[in-house]
Amino acid sequence: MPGIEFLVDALTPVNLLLAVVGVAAGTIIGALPGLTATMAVAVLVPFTFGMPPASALIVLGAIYTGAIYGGAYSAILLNTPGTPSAIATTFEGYPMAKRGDGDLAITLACLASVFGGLVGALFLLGLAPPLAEVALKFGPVEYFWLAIFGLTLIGTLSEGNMLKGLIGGCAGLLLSMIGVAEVGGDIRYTMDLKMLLGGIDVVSALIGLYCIPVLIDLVATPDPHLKLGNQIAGYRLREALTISWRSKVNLIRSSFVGTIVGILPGAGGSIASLVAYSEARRTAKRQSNFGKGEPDGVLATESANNATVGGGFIPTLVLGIPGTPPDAVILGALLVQGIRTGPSLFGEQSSIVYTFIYGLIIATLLMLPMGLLIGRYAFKSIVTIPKAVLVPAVGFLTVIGSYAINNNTDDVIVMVVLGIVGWVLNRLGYSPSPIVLGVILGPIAEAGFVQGYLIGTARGSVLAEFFFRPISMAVIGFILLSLFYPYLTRQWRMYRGVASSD
Amino acid sequence: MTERPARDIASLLSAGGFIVVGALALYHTRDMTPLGSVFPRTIASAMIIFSVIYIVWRFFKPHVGAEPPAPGSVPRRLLLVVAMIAWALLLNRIGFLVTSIVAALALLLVANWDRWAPRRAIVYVLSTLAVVVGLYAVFAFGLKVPLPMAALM
Amino acid sequence: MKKTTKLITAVLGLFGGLVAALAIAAYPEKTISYIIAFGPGGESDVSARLQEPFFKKFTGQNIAIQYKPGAGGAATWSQLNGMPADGYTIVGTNIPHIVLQPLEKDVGYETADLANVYWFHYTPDAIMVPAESPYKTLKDLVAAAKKAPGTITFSGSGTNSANHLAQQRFDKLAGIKTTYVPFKGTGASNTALLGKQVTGSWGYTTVQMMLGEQARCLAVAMEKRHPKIPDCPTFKELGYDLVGGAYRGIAVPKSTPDNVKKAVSDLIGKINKDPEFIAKMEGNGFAMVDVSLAEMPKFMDQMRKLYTGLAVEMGIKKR
Repeated sequence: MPGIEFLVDALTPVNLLLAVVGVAAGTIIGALPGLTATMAVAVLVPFTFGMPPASALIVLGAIYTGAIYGGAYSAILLNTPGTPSAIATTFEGYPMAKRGDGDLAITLACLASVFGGLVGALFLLGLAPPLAEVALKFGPVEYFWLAIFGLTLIGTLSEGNMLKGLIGGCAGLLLSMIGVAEVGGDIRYTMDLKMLLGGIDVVSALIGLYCIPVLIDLVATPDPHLKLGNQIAGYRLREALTISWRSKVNLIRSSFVGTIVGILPGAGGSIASLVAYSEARRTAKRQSNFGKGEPDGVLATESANNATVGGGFIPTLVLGIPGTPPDAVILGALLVQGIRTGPSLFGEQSSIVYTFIYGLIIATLLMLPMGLLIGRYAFKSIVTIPKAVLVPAVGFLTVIGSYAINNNTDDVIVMVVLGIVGWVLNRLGYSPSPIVLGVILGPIAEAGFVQGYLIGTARGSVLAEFFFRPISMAVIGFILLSLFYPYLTRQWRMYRGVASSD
Repeated sequence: MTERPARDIASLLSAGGFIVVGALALYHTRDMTPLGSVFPRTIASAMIIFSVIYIVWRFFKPHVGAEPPAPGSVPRRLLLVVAMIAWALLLNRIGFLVTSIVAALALLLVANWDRWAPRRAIVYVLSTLAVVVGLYAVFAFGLKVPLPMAALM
Repeated sequence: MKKTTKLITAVLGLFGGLVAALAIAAYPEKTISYIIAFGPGGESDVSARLQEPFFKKFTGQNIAIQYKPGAGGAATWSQLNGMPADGYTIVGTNIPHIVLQPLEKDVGYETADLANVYWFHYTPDAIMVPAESPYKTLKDLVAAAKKAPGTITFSGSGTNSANHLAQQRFDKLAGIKTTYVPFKGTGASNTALLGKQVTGSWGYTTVQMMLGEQARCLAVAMEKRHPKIPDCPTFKELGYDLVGGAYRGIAVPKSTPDNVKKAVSDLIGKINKDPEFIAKMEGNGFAMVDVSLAEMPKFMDQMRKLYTGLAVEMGIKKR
């Protein structure tokens, strides 16, 4: 194992303490809707300036990975992703909670997060420099096709009407265009409102579209929010472990997906978990359970999003290019500390890097006991808090959370308005996920398209640029696969004379 | 004999609504630069196309049942919505903490279906206040978020 | 009785005046809010973080760095004059942003509305190519551009930003036509450069420092070579009159009293002259600049003329 001599440095009492505190703080912050992993990291950066660089990295990395895990709590219990990377966890997590399996879902999320986090960290440890090269091969056109892939996933994943899902996705894409265009500088769709000049923030849209409808429906009936399972006996750990072992291929594949997506600068947990979920669903033997609370779904999404932590550090540390938004903050912190990123970081300054990576691995491992503990506590409190107090508490969280993104009350107004619209759309059959995913993927798709167009024109052929690059062709292949696979398998089964029942 | 649920008019109307939205979006692209208008035009067109396909599809399947109206109390839902809107608009004017306390208590009233026994009332009110003030403190002092403080905090 | 009242009023007045004078003399007495108009991790953030220990060193007080991103900075700048005007709220400002934004569209403020008190550094424009690029000097690049107009591509951060302006200015000076491909932020722009998606990149000296061995700097827009990038010639040396970049400074709400404005200006100036601070700044690729409150009107006039002219040329001036 490279740099194993630095494992000892990672095990100092100070570093261990930092890892524990970091994971705990990160988990709690990530669980609160409105507080993202980026925010969590940004808040703690000033405290790290007095620390030695490796320790600073360890605590920041611990917070980061804890926050990505913590986002699952509100996703599962409140149908509101605590961080954008937990969006896909709502697909199966919330139905599981509604049916009384919320505690199982939380334990599964913990196991998956630890597994995914470890895979990502191990890749960081062993293969960082070569993997960084892979990241560079992805140009604007590849990002464009990736975004399109994400968008077709929206369509195929929509429970209910696929057309409504696609329309919702288009709505999200239009929302993402509000504001100043990154390429071209146009001001679009702001209807002359200064408030909209900065566009619609993803987190505002996320909290509004997911959480407000839940609140609106909570006040309408006297029923409790979530059913308690038959035994609140424990963590259902054994059950969770059995499920995880059965699903090991899913776990491994999803972690790979997460690591690779994390390596791509600009693509983070939200996209990773979406792709992992889609693959899990596509290859599942029992497809019918998806959408109604399928544990494999939670395993897929949570392992993928935590794998992006380790994966995201690869381009950050090797190239000086942030792999995910929290990495940008960490990079700034490193610069202030005087650490130069780049290949030299793995060369002469390798003590810092390796101590950090081992620290990250230890923090991830520590997330298992701590995550289970915090998870149980979170579950108990959400389930036993009387609804009358839950509603104002969550309401306050949405308000302060959306405010805290940019310290701007306009985001709160946007959040509420989108929430009301979201409730109406939900009643009409348009679920929030396609819309939010449209908001996230819109800028990536548009930037990729326009940049690819400019480069293609300069190089002489736009068509060649978009369709004949090797990685693009692979992604296009995936798009076609996910679009037509269900039909192909059905045809194949009918051909083989097997009844095509699910 | 199975009773046919009422036809799902609402979805048809919503599809129509999206066609209008798409058309508006297309209309507004005339002020944009060529590069800046590509994406809006494509997506708005896609939205219109999908909505049209939906309406046509319904033409071939006229008996898609409507969703039953949302069960539960409409007045409470409206009150919650009004409270949230007021909350968002008043933050800057009356100050974050005061607005939040008032709004949270309002939400407590709207969300409570249990009878208002005195003990329960006190516990609920106190816990709501504790949550609001506690989280406010965490954000204002722990995370150093600058929360708007108008005349009344 | 009247006399006593007069006396009391006089004493109170004197006392009040003394307190006010002491207050100013003792500025700052508590934590200063330093608001950054962008998100964390960017150059404005890094500069503020580097200044932070020196604030403490010279005043004993802390600064609280806050981020208020939105609309490329316009969200904060349009709200600046509504913030507390006692010297304890300072906001980071950037040129060319504050000159160009109001010219393009209604962003909620005019350049003259912002009360700048100091400009403390700039990040000079720099043109870079990947380390393995066939272009070893600026001359090679210009020659290739002349041979095949439009085929040379440059990545940069944003449209109508400092990078974009630099590309346009240079194209004009060199009589060539290159294609500018805007990216969202320096990170994305660098990825495109290192991945060889584009021929080169218009960035800053800070970017060159960060990329190190991976990128080759062909020219910098400074009067003299940057001390930490000695191998990179200036545009002037190569025959092009191109000096400039993105300037960073501090502004306060307009209604701040003049003596408080001066106190803030003097404090920033002090930090800016500290040799340890200068070393840290230059080590990261920044180039120091000292425009204090006294020199502000003349400087802003110059900047306004320069960038308004460029805006007209580029066709982005719409108001």
